Amino acid sequence: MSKRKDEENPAANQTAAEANQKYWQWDKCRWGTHRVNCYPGSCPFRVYAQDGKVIREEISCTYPEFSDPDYKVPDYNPRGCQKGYQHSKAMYGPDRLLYPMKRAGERGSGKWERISWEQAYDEIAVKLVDIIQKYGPQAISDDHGTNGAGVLRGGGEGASTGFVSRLGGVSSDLNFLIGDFNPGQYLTFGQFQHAPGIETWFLADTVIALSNPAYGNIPDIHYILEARYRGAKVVAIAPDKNATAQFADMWLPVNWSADPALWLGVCKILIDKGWVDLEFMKEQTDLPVLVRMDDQRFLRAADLTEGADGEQHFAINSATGKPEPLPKGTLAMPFDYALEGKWKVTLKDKKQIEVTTVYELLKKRIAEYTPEKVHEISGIHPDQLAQLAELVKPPRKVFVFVNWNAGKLYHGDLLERSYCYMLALTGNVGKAGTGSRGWSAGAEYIGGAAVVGGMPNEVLETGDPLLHAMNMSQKIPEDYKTYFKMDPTMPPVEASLGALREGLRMGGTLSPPVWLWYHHAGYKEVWDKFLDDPNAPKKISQYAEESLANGWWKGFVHPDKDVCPKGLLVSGSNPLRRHRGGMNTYLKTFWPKLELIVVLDPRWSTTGLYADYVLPAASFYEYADAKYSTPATRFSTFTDQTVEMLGESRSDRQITLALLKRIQEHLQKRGVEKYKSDEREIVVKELYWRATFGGRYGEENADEERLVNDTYNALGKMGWFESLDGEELTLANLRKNGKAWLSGRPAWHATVVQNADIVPGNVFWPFRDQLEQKVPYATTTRRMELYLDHPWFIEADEHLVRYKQPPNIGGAQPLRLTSGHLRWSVHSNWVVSYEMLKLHRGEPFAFINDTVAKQKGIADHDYIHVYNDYGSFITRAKLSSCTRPDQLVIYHAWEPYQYPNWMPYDGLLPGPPKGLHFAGGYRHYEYTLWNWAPSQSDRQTNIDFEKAQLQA
Amino acid sequence: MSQRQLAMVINLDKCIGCQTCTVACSTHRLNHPGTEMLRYIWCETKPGEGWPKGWMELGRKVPDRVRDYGGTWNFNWEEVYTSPVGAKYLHPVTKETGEPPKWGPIWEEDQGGGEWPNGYFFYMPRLCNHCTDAPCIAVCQDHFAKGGGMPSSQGNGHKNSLHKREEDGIVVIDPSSCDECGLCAAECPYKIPMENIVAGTYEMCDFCAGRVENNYAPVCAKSCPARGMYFGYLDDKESFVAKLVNEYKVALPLRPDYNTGPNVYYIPPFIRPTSFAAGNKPTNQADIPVDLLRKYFGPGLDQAMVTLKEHRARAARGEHSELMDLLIIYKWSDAFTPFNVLAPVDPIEQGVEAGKQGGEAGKGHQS
Repeated sequence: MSKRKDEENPAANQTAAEANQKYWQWDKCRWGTHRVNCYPGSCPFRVYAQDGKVIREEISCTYPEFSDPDYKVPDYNPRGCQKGYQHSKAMYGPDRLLYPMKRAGERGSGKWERISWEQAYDEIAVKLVDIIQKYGPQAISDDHGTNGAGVLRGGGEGASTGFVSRLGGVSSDLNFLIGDFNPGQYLTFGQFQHAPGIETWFLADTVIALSNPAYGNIPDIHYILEARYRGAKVVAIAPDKNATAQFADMWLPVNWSADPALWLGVCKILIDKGWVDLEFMKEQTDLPVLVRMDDQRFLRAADLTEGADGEQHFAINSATGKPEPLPKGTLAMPFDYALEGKWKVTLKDKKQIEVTTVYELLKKRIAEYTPEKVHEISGIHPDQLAQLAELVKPPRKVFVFVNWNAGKLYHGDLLERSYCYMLALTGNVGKAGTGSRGWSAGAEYIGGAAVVGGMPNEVLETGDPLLHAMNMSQKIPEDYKTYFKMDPTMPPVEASLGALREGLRMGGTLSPPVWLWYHHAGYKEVWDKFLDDPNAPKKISQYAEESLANGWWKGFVHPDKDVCPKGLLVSGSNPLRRHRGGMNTYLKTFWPKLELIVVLDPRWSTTGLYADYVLPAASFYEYADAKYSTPATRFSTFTDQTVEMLGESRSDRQITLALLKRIQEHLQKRGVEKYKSDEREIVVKELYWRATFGGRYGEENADEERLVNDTYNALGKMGWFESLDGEELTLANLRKNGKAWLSGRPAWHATVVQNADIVPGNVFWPFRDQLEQKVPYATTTRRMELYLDHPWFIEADEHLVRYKQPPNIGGAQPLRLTSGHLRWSVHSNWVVSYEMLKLHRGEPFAFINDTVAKQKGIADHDYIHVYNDYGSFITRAKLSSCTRPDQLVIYHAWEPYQYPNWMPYDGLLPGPPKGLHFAGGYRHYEYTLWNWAPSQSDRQTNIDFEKAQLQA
Repeated sequence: MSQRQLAMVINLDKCIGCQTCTVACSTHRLNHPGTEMLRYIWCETKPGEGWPKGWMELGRKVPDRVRDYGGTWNFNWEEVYTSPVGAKYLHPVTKETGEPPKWGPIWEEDQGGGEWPNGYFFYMPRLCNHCTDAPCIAVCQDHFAKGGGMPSSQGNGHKNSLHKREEDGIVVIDPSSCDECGLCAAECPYKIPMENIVAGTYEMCDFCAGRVENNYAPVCAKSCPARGMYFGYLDDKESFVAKLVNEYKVALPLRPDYNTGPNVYYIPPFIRPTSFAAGNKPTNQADIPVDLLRKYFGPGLDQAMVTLKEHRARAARGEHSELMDLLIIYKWSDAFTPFNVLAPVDPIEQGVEAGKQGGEAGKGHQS
């Protein structure tokens, strides 16, 4: 009667009904979250296990309601997304690594041998010691990444960072490895780590979406969607009509890199109609600051008087018509600043010159951006431009939503600076529901910095080294300001970032990755060859060399030009996927130089498949840790050990500790007691002792748990975190509540850069100090800086924003490739999990315009060959009328091994940084961790495509 | 008609197509054999053919396993990880044909309709409508009356596999008595019941009946990160679903012309960018043709759009709109009254009331 009865395999007959009966059976329910480096994350799940196996997870919906007396906003529930919701399956998936593996043939032969941990540790340690002895410690590099973003991993930076830096090796700045930077916001605000609470998006009257939160911000976008029901308008600006644009009141199909023209056009309307906030412009921005008309630089006291302050700027007192010094320590106005006019001043050499205000220059600059001109450049009709201007007219509160596109777009700095102009003219900074956002993390990073940087011996010898280190860190910015710079007027953010910069410069080998790419991975030649920018005064290599010659990157050029990397430790990262040109230049040029490649990962990545050793790192439900907090949600979420670590996997901290122990033994066996990396002396007998905080936190699981307990306990004692129930913050408390509340304001790094207090239960937004307390910004003029007086920017005519035609990157092909985060993965985490693969077509695809496809004879799901002068790849075509005719959209983080021949789209991205971003030398034109460095650009690389003949 | 009726409301003006509902369901409900390509809920991009392919046009056909559902996808991880780099790449193959798949549950994501620059799309999660006049039940009854079906092992006294629960109106399939005749799939105009050939039964969404019995909200709806799903009793006037469906009449059944009385309701996408005339000149017309929405949501569409837009305009003027508050959902759990949105902590023994403790996890806490 029924074909159902499978007598031989009764298990197959298990039905939904029986599954339902088992649904309520579990023997363990613990907290869990996913320490992938998604932003802000903070998704509290409950994880269920039966008989030592995770059976499922569920979003806990346990976020408390806001208790802000002034603002009513929706709660955070339910935070989570489809990716976290299938980790219980993915963790047992076919890409999971369970045992230490060593390649059993040539690199990339696909032949692997399972080895013991002892063998792995020993062989790797010997090879690393060989490298240290033969080439020096800086021949060891790490590439850390997104799979280990836990507090104990050294503050999200991956255990390999701490490991490599302890050895005196080179650690790359993660933010510039991935290019998550807001260059234009950085140049405007002197920092990029400001991040309003996602709940404040709800309070805006106009939300301008420049990124695609429907893909990249799944648990957050509801605040934008819900703002519309308050009456707010949503505007999407994007070359294609992406998923987010579908929810907007207005979509502006802007031409390539034409956003600056659009915003300058809006600014012109705002000024012409008087829709500006004059008080804000005078008080908060550099618009009243005087500029010399002879060399276009700011007028400085040192120009007027020999030996005077080179950082003292001027404005005209509108009552007297005379230039007067602007106060450096406050934004409060001692006199009324003139915004308009030209004046004569006499320099110290008696020469008389003309000076004017930034505002005058800005007005002159935007005069050419008439609606007709804007239409011609950007494709945006004057009617829409006028509508947009209406939507940002004061007193409307305007929030510009961005992720980190701009850091990956060649002229992304101009794009960002241009909307910052609008924010400056309309006073949309420092109030709830205004501004824009960068990236930031919570106070755990102070714990993390201590872990990574290493603490002095005397700290390790105290009773509570974590608390001691946190306490000590509080003095650092003050010392920097008072003793190092001797500038009592210095604002806290400048002191914090400056202290970090000097600390790193003197004591570490952390560097932005640009120098590794440039000197050792073949990109110097690639960038010069495949960037054709007729509007740039110099080639990239000229900018780079000049900046080196000027000493602008002193202390941050690692590995040195003459030290060739030989050992690479990859932790939770996937550099062959991630670097632009990863499977092209990076693999061809950099990989063969390496004598040892070790990958720590819970899963088989493409990089792992090209490595010498692959070490199985345990995953999120297998040991206790927490996902770092961020100002965006202000919670740290806890993830517990629900099951034993799978197979023989171990935590990345345990792995690197064990390795360090072996390295110490081998160095000692060879009679090495100490060695140097730059000026830093590495004492061999202390390596393991220091890494375990004076022997406190070893390699046992119990040590991991104690470290969580002690870290949060110390953070709680410092007042930087609070428990949800007022009890002492401990591991037990985290186990109870699943999360802890970020609060207060540490003096060093991370949350101080918010320029506002974090009060649990209240909504949060940055730059309140500036608006409410008149605390200066961390820029050259200590004001929101619309005018850049760096000689390079003046030379490139980018001292003020203008529209610049985008360069040809990759060749002169007629189409543009764009990208963004895939919906179905967090970087390459989970990208090949069965559950995720079933949510699309099971393999990489690119969106192309349906009409263009027909012209080219391409049908939906055909393979296409995409190419430029630098490289090519093959993928499936997906036809859409929402894709621009001259565009191909391929979202990122597919594994290269998902593409035919393993050549991903990154293979045709030469990734040239913008030469101007090598600028340095003074004030905020200086690198520090996560702030101001060149990153690879990939958006709008030139391409063409054709139908490909390929049988799967 | 049942004594009470549970309903779900899905706000398409919020649905971002993230498939969290799909995956939450898969993680919680699709762990038994034969469920690799089964779905109780999935999210389609509209306009489009949907899943199974062209379901609106299939009439009384049972969808074809390969052509309409896309078959069962297998992947070659092992081969990729053990071959020389570059030699084999990871891709799907349909088990039934040995060929690359030509269709699947989420095949048309973000494709939509229209012509550049006036392309458009929106998302629409689909699941069993738990219809008031469910044709699947009628045909199942008929099938049993004619001697079809199998004896039930559930001891629930039902004479056929499909029935509608008196207490809450949930339509459930009793797998033990299903003989896979396929008539339910043929009769369902929404093409919801799907065959599990391994377990030997038809399956579909049951509004997480087991959770509902223990007072927990269905896992798809409570997990919606875009906060666009609601669940509750239609006769509970204070429930958000009742207000949206009956009071404001802005949540509409899908294809009401099928006359089955669906109890899943959709708030249409009402905030949209306008379309362009030549030279990108903006018009006053929303990009989605209203005829398309009318086809999906029937004659109630026009008034619902007017109501929604009017209330949004009120809110923009600073006036209070209860309807807009219902769409905002300040407190997530309010959208599910009287059901619990928290994740359960303690196992529940069958037949024992919710909230009873047991097992190690009983030491846990709900905060």
